[in-house]
Amino acid sequence: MAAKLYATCTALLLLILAMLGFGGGGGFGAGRNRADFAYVNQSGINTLDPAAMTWMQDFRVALNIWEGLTQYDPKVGEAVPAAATMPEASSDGLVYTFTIREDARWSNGDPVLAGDFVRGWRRAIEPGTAGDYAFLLTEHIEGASAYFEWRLSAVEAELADHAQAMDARFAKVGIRAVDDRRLELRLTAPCSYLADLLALPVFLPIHESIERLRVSCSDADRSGKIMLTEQGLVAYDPQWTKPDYREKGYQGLVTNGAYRIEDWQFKRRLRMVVNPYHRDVGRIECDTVDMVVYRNLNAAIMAYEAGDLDFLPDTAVSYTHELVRLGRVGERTDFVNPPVFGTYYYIFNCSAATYNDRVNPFTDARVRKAFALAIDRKLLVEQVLGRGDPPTHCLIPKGSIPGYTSPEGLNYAPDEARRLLADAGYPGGVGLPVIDLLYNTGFDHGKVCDVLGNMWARELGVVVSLRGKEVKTFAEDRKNGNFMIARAGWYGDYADPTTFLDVFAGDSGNNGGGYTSDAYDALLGRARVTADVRARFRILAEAEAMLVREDLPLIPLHQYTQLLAISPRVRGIVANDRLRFSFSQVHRPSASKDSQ
Amino acid sequence: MTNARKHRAWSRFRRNRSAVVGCAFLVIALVVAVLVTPFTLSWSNVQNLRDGVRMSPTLHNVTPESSFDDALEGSVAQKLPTSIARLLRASAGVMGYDDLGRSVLFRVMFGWLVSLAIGCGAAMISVVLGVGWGVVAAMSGGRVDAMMMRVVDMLYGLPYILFVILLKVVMEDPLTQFFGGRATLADIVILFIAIGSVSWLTMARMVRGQVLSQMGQPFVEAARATGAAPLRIALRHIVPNLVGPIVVYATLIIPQAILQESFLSFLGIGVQPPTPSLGRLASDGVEAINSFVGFWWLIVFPSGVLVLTLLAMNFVGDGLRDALDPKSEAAQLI
Amino acid sequence: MIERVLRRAGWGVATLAGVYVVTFVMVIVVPGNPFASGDRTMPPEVVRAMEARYHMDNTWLYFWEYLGGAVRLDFGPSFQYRDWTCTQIIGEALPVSVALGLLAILIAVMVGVPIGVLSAVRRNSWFDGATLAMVLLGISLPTFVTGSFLLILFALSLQILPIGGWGSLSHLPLPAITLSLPFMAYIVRLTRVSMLDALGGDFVRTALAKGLPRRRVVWDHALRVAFLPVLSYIGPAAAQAMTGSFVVEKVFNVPGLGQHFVDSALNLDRGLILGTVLIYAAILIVFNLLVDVVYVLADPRSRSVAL
Repeated sequence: MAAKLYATCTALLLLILAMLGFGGGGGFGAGRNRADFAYVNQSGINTLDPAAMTWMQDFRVALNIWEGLTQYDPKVGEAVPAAATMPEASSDGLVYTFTIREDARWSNGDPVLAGDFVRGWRRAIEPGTAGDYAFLLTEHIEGASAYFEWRLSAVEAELADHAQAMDARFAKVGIRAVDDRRLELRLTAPCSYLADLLALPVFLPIHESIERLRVSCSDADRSGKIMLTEQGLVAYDPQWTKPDYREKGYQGLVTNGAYRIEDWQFKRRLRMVVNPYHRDVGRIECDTVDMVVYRNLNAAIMAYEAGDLDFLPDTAVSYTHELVRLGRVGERTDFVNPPVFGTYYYIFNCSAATYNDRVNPFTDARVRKAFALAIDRKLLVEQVLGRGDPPTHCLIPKGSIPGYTSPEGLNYAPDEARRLLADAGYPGGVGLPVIDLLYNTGFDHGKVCDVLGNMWARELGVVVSLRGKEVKTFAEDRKNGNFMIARAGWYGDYADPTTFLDVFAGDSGNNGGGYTSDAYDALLGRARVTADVRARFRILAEAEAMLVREDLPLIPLHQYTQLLAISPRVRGIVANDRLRFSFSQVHRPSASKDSQ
Repeated sequence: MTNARKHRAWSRFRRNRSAVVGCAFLVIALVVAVLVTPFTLSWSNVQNLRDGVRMSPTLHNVTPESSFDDALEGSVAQKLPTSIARLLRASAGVMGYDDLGRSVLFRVMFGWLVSLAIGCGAAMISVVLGVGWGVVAAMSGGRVDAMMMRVVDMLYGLPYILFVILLKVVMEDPLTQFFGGRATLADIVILFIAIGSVSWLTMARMVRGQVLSQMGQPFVEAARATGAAPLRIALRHIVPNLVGPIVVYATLIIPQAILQESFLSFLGIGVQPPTPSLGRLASDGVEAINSFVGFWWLIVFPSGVLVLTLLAMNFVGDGLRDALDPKSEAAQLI
Repeated sequence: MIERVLRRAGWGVATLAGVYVVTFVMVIVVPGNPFASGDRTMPPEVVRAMEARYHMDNTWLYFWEYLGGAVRLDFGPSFQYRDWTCTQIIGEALPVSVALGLLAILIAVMVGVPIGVLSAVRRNSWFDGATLAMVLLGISLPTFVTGSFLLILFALSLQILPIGGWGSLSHLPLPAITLSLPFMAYIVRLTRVSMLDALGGDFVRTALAKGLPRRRVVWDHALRVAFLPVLSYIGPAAAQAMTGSFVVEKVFNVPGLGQHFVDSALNLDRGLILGTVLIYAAILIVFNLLVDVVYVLADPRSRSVAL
């Protein structure tokens, strides 16, 4: 019996191993050959559709496999011409004509055409495909907003002739292919940061082969595999971003960047290989790049130490402060900690009169100000976080935008805070309901919230309750104003103060706290029509001062920094405040020595 | 259970050395926890950001006395003998301090109670649900019994983690509101409801089996002959005979539930800060393991206490099982 | 015999349908917009149109449509990861989890059964005591503690095994062993109890009286009977090991199915929740059925009944 049992078990064991080892079951063997360059990603790719993406890890892949008119160059620290040469601008700064480089090529050898950009941008403002960044087009490009609204009106109402009128309506949008290589762009207002803007994924071109996967009402498939397009939503089979998708003659994803995707395993690994038709192909040293998913960053750091990974753009672990210290004292020069173009803050619910049947005291600006004044940022940043994030009292990271100076914010002043709270009718915190603090679980957020709660309890005598939620339900709660005080943070997208200040505009979709101020919106409006950069920055600084000195819809806590681990085996990964990395610039000194 | 049987069981249990040691450990821990909880309830979250952050174990307390005093304001602990307070304060640093300068000792003490509460709550729920379901199924017999057991089979097919998360999403806000905005209490209640409502299934199966085997016994036949109502038979004659296996199984659910909570904590969906639980503390410690810097006290003490507690509970549960019912069906199932 | 298997299979299908209904109700009851991703607000028109597109505005239609797809193993699109279908996501992760889970159960059986037999044979010896202590320790140690300990020992200190991941044979031992420990503990205990039972049985005494060597009686005659409860435990245990390994997956960075249970629920990704639950339940049912068949074949008593 025992022998039989063992024979059976051993047979099964060998069978499984054989299936794994030789059959390649479960993706076995695929990861055996290490790429020239491997970096980590914690949560996997959300989407590779440039029109829909919002997450930095998605941007990172997209901007290496696609190439926009301009491209952020980490070495230069700003956007430089990429798929097009420097544009010609009209004298009023409203019309730009770009000429696509003659040697710009898709990964299947096709030339990149002006029409490919028009296609990509049009997708970005179609209600069916538009994503979080569509506002960049509707705000800056003439007629885009009107087009979006017109299309939106047809989403639910079956409008006659709407489909036929679409192309004619789109012709009124300020995006036009003059010919195969010339692209004309008409703006709503002069834009000093246009080059920076155009380097974002939402402005990437899309290869024409995607049209094969366009779905219209007639070929709607009810299996759910292909989206239906009733109600006028233009849609594409969402699998078009896959390198190995073959359907209706589609030949897999075609991109025009330095790399193309070779293989994409869900939440596991994404392999990029060099685009053989790219003009820089001769200068690229890393032919293969792996994005490896490690859900547990602690394991990723161990893997980095073991040499399995070359680059960690994300190192949020509970001992990050120690890695920062090792980098700072020079013991580990591969750990660098650059400041990043983003701010960590908390927002108040400024609009709802009650929250969960309790009075919401934060509709009163004095209470908000009192809570802001009671925070000792230095203690929080130095003792608790210890990562070297600069404490901040304003929204826009100091010195991040050339020519712009942020106003002075409110410093730690507990006595003033108590006085303001008493003025508002809550002396010593008496009369305040239990204060609800909302944060998303993960990394240090709970810790920071805990510390803030403790500070408020101690300085102001209030009772706090922490509510930690998973990021999805957290975002929903914050969007719906279902909180009193909530964690927030913002990374800027382009070098202009409005990338931060627009968040608190009355019509902003990100203004979860429901802060509205006519005076603030008026300042933003005035800045929009001011052409002189210095005058414009002065107005914007006034607007920022209003946020961080008077109205306090937010409590700025610290500017972000990001600890990067860059293996000494590679060169060319340049730390920058946008956290954009160009893998085509990576050198491998050891590899070239080997070949000599 | 007759007195003689009780006596035999007790003497069997007493002879089981590991069970007695486990029992003693748990009783002492419980007494200590009850004594110190009025203090640790507030002190487990007293932070010392200035000079206590990640301080290794020390015999001196580094947190200012005034912080402790402030935290106790208005709590029942002020009415307790000051000697306990003094002893506790003096030993605040023996397990070191965590990343917010909080005493690990106080957090472990309070977290122990939180874990125990989740375990006991879950066990209670599974006893109520499991016994009710099992008895009704067995007494009804026939089609109803078959259907009820099919439902149990089906619920086995639901992964508990999904249930826990969805329950949390649905109940978090209403419960928090119910507890006057205190999210901590809501959190603990959700956890033991969620874990309890997935661990009653085995209990229901076991109880049903036991009831069925009892139904054939002469004393049940006799009761039925006198025309007693089924509910009366169940409550008066059958359930009392099942106390043994039910208690055994319930004691084994407690460590199971504590372990489940620690898994949830490891995945970031257990008890939320600032409330500690043994699972949360242990998983936080384990996640900090690295090759650069060692905070061994954050790993060793919480994990050690967690493992010792679970071990003690399992020893006691095992001992109880052997003592009460060495050869029952329950012993096979558990 | 065949009739019995068919009846069980029928019950399995019914159970699966029940699981589907219960999960569907849970998923529908939970509040939240499954289409929201990122931080910005979608125009309400688009949200309504998307709901209409996936028939979420019509719960009844959605119920039948999803069921119709699920029967063909088409679990629809993932709402969180729009580039992927749920079938692809499950399809990539399932082989990993199945392989890891089966390995763990095999290890648990191959190590657990002999230890259980030995401790029953040497009842109340030091070996028995030590085994009991180890068993309880195995049940009491959270897998993230044992896993991390093994990781530090073998990957970080001794550097003989990789830190984590999936893709070569050297990635297998640590997660498989970690996952097997709690199951092993149960199997040891189960074997010990049923072995004690079997050793007290008449057939053992008869065999010994006939003069058969004790060794053979224990390992052949007694184990044949004592293994049956272990066998019926293996069914649900294997299903659990294959799908419930999210803690081990996180520790060792294994791209298995367990993570999708957690993530799909956290993301309120309806299609993926339903898909993973259905797969889980199906595995559970299939394994119970398999074990049932093997049980009937292995158990001399039930075989004679069937004949």
